[in-house]
Amino acid sequence: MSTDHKKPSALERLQSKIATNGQTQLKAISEVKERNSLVSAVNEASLDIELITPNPFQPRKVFDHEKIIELAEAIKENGLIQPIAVRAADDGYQIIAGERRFRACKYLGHTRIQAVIFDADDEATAMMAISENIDREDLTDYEVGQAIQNIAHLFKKKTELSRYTGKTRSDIYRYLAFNDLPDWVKGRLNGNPSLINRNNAQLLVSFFKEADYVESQHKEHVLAAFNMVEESALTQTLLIPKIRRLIRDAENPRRQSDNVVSKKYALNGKNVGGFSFDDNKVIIKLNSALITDEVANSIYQMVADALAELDAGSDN
Amino acid sequence: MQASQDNAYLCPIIAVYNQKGGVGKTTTVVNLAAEFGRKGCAVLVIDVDPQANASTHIGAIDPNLYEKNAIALFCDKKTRTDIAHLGALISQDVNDGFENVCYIPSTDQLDIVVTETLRIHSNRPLEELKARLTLLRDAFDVILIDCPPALSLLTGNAISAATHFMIPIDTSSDYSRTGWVNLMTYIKDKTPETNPDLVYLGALLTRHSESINVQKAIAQSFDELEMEMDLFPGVGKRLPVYIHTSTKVGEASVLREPIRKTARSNKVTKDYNDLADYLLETLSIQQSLKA
Repeated sequence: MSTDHKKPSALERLQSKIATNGQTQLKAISEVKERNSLVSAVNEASLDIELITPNPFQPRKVFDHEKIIELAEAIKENGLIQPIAVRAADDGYQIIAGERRFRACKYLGHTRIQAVIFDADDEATAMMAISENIDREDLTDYEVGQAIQNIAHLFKKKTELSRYTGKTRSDIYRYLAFNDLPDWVKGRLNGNPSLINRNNAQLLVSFFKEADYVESQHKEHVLAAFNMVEESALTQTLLIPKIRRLIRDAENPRRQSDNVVSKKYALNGKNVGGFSFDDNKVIIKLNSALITDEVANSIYQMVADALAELDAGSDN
Repeated sequence: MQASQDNAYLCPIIAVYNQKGGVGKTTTVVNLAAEFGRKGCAVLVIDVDPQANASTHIGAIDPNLYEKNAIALFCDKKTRTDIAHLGALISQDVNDGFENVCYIPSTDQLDIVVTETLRIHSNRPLEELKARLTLLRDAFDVILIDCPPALSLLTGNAISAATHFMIPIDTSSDYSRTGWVNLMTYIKDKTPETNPDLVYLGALLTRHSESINVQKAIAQSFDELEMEMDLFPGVGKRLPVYIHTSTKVGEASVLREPIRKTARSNKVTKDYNDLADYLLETLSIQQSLKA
C-alpha cells in the first residue's frame, strides 16, 4: 500500500488487478489439487484375479447372484469395458470399486482382470466405494448407513459429512441410527438389509430407549413384527405402531378370543348385512327392506327354539 | 409488452463460434450478456469452452472451485429430465456490471470428460446439450453459448442446441477468414438431422476499422465469399453492427468487468449496446426484468 495521496496510475491499477487475478487462480488450483490428492491414479494393468480381494468398506451386503450372471453374460459378449479400480494391499490388490464386475469375471473363470491401480489410503478407499455406490437405487438404506458409518469419523462435523454424501443432515442421523441398533436387529438386517428403512431405524433406536421397554419381555413382539414385514403382511410405516399394539395386546389380553367368526351376507354382489360371532355375542344384521316379516319371524323362532332346547337339556 | 403476455415465449439460444481462437467469441458473449442484462433481460451464459474464459470474466468465483459445472450438461442423466438438478448448475455469483446475468461455469476437464463419456454412453452424442437447454428455455429471456475454438463434440452439441448462431470474424488479419469455409461446411453437414431450424444471424466483424485499407479489403472479400457459399438462408448478410478495435477490451478482461464499466463512452461499449438492441428487435427478445 502506498502512503502518498496520489491515486495509483492506470498501469498500476491494472498491474495489481492482474496480480490478484493470478493469485486467485493459483489458490483455486492448489485447493483443487489438495481436494484430489487423496487419490491419485497410477496405472492400468491386467492383474492376476487371485491376487485381488474385495473392499472391506464395500457397503453392498448382498450380491444378487442372477444379476452377477447377467453381468457375466454381458462381459462375455462385449468384454470388460470399464476396468475395476484397485489399490495395492499387503500381498495383492484390494478392490476400491467394481466388486460386481470382479465377481462376474470370476464366475466366467477369467484368470486375469483389467484394473486401474490407485494409490489410495483407507479413507480414500472408503470414500470411493461409497461415492460409487451411494446413489444407486438398488442399495438399501441399511447398506448406505453402513457405508456412511465407515467414513463418518473422517469428518469433524456432520454438516461436512452431509455435504460430502449429498444427504441432508437429518437424513445422516437417520442413516447413522442403524449403528445404534442392538446386535440381534443388525443380525436380521445382515440377512435382509431391506427389512428396516432409515426412518424406522431412527424410530426403533428411540423406541428401545423408552422406559417401559423391557427387552427380555418385548423382543419377541419386535421379531414378530419383523416377520410380518418380511411376509409383506405389514408396511414399514406401521412397524412401530404394530409393535406397540402387539405388546399392549400381550399385556392386556382382550376378552375377545381367537374364535371370532365374521361373515357377510350378499345379494347380487352387494353387501346387505353381516353375521358375527365371538365369545360375548352373536349378531345378525340384515337390511330389513330385503326380508319379509315372515323370514324375520322364522329367524326369531329358530333361535327361540334352540334356546328352548338348551333349556330343556339343562333340566335333565 | 406483447412478448411478456405471450405464455409460449421460448427464448432464443444464441451460439457464438468460430474454430479460430482469439476472434472475439468470449468478448462478444460477455459484453452482449451484460448489455442484455442491463436492458432488463434474464440472461443465461453457458460456457462450453474448456478454457473457461467467459466463466472467469463473469464469475466472482474461480471456475476450478465449482463442484458442479458444464460437464453435468452433457454427462449427468439427472439433468436431462430434472429441472432442479439442472438449476443447481446455474451460478449467480457474478462480478459487478453483470446485472441479471447467470452462468454455468466451464472447466478445463470439459472436453476430455464429455468426449469420452458421450462416445461410449450416449445414443445421440450431439444432442445431449439440446435436451437440457430445452428445459431451461422458459426460465430465461435469452441464452448465450460461448463455444471452444475447435470443431469438437462440444461445438457440435452447441450448434444442435442453439436456435441462432453468429460467427465473429477478426478483420485485423486474414487468419480467421481461412477457417470459415470449414466451419460453415461442418455446420451445414451436422445440422440437417439435429437442428434443421438453426438460423444464421451473420458474421460479426471484430477489431474492425473501416479506415484501414487491409481490414476494409478483408471485410469486402469476406462478403463475397459468403455470397458464393450459399449455405444458409441469410448467408451473405453480415450483421449491421461491427465491433471496433479498442485497447479497453483487454483492460476490461483484466478488471473482470463489462467494457461499459471500464469505459462507458468507448466505441466498443456503444457497439455492443447497438448489437444488443439489434438482436432484441430482430429476435423479439423479451425483457421480463425491465424496470
